[in-house]
Amino acid sequence: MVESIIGIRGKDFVLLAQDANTTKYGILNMKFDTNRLFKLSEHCAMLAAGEPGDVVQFAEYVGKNIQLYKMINGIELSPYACANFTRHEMATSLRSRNSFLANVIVGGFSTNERDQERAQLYSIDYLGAMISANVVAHGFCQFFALAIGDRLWKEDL
Amino acid sequence: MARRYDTRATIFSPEGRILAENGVVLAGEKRNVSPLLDDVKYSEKIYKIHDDLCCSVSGITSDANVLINELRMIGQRYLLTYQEPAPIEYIVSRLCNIKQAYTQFGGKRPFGVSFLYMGWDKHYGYQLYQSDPSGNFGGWKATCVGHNSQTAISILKQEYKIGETQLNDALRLAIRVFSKTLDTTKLTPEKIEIAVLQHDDKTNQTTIRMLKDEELTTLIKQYEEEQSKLEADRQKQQQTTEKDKK
Repeated sequence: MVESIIGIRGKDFVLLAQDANTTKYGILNMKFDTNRLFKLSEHCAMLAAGEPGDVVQFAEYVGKNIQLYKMINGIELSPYACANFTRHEMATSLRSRNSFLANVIVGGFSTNERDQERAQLYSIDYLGAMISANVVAHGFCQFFALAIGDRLWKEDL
Repeated sequence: MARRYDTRATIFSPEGRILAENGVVLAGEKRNVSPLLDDVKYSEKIYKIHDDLCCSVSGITSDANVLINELRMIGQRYLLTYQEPAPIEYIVSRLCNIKQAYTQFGGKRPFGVSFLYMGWDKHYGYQLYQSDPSGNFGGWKATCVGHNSQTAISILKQEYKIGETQLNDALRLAIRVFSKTLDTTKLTPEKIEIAVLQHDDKTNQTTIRMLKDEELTTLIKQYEEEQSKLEADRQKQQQTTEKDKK
């Protein structure tokens, strides 16, 4: 919960931000350069926060599967499809032996010109609930980020 | 529903499919073997796999039914995971992997079916694929499967214009190919069925529709008029050359 991840969507971009501290047991800051960003494809990325082992395991699993899709089929998945795939995996694993305590933000810009909205941003929590919004956040920072987003986000950022 | 069998199990009944700039045309020969057979409402040979993809069958109908079911499942499984329609090549390729497995493992016989798939997706637009019992598949601009397919393909090679064929050109081409390759002397609407797939970019909807008997009659009549005009011109040419000779 102490780790912060934020995503903001503009007209033709998606911005993903994260903090870089790993604080264990609330009093000890172990690492100042943590990476929470995982590349899913050339134009889509995922931020993940939560239980450290689960975060890496889940994010790498999704990321590699998306890469595999591209190798097999020759086309890149849109951020919308990536996010739905991620949610599907999260929801399937939830009621099985291996669930992941990871909150995730998936965002990217679709390379397909036929897509209506090309900048796409999704938030998926550890229970497999997904929403698409202009400002998304996980962790304690969400109380601040979402409130500020509500007040200050506008269409032509 | 009465099951239909292709009576000549080793020879597939003919169909051709043509890709146009703004659609895909599929034409098939109807094999109403007996007037006593029960009527089929939608189509004898054309099956919808999902909103943007349909396919037609050549071969053992019972084998085809199993594979059609599998094609639909592949499409739906993808939709469940990714919440968007499956790319055409994805579906074709998955089914062909299954077909191939039967040629290599298990000791079972392969599926005696060839498919022609026509569809639209947002990655590559209109597409046309053909697959056979070996599990091999390929993308085509125009192709034909079944009886007399070689003749049909050579006609398509000459007449199909890459990058310039519109839907009406494709329909006329299909009629022309049929008139040259079908066993019968005269082409009538009862002997053929034609389906057209078109995607509307504005509404993002794909429509697959069968041509009605009246539309088929019009197309056939247009073709016959063209032919008789050509014949008349040719005869005139002959007469003038003979006159010149004298």
